[in-house]
Amino acid sequence: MSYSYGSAKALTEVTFTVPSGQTVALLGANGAGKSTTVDLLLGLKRPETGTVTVLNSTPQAAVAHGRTGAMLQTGGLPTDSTVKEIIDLACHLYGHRRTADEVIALAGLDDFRRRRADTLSGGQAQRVRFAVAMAGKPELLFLDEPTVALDFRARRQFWRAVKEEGNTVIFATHYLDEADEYADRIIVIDRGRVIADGPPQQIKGDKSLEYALVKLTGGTE
Amino acid sequence: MLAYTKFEVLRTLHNFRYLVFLVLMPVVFELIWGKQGQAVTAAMAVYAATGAGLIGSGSAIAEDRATGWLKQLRVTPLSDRAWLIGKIVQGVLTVIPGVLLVSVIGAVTTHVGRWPLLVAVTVAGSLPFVLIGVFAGTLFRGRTATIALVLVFFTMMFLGGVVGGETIWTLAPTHSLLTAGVGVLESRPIGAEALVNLAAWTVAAAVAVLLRWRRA
Repeated sequence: MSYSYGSAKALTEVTFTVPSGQTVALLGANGAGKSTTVDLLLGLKRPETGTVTVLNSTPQAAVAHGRTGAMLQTGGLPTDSTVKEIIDLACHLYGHRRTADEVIALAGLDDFRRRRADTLSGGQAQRVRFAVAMAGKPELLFLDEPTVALDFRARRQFWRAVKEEGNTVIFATHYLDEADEYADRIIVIDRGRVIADGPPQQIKGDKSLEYALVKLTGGTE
Repeated sequence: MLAYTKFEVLRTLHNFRYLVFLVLMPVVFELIWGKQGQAVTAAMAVYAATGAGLIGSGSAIAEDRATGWLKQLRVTPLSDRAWLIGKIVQGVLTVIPGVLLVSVIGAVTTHVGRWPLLVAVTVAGSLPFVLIGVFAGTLFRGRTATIALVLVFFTMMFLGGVVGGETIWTLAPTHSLLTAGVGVLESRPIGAEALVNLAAWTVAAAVAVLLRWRRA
């Protein structure tokens, strides 16, 4: 698939297939095209050329049936709503596949139920967004830069919760270490193109990728 | 859609600015000036209906577009259509507290006997204002929408003669709603002119919303 913003080419013939159960990292620097890829996979944008198939249907249908969950990089939370209200809404929208209490426990939000979303710290807000993404027991989970607002310990906890679910995960990150540690497979995106695709060991060992990866190694706090 | 409407109603009821400017202010004005007669009660009910209608739903849309919550909602099973209807229904529902309080105070202080009719007319007549608010929310981003809607609100209040005494523009929807409100309190039938004008504003605002909302 390809996509442009006006005359700026964002993605050029990006092609990949993710088998069920795999955890895939879309690794690239800021502006490489990761978020555009996620938006296309979620049906928020339509590709100029090419097709996108998600869970054997269109992205729009997969989203409408609640088969996907997504944590977007630019996804904010509503002001004035409490954490509990947001999670109640999410559980309802996904047809009550989980109870609000289950989701709250899963995301570690027990102490924040009655807090208003606009009073949460970055890390706490991130957990609420994770809760919304998990409310429907998604077959396929999209995470766009999921741990940017999290410290080391919170990042570990976050990934433990994701892995316990055992669903297919596609996550965008600019941290090589995060991709290496949690992904079964890394797709490296650079300036809108896929420049490498393989298991972490292969990607890290690929000398021709050194230039692209050096930009990404400074990112782990 | 109902769950989403409920969510948005609760959210609006938590909003401090909504409670102060769109519920408390007309109530306080009614307590101060309501004794002057039924026309004041009708005017304050129109204030509450117009203000909450314009600002109560639309400004949150603009905010949600700016923060990214709208984008997050779009990757849940909530359909675009359910979202739009939910926001419009919420807009009309959150008009009720202000209008109801003003009318009940009117009933107690000046014995406005037909206050339930005033509530019904002003809540129903808030629809064009809700639609204008939703349109502005899909047109402007963030705080800009709220500022634009506050300006529209005061302009319409003055043009329609709801505040400031004289009516400057008889085709202002606020004027029609005031005419209807005063009419039901005085046991007069609502004139066709007011109804046709409110209907025309509703249709125009609905068309504007339909042309614009998918690009929000």
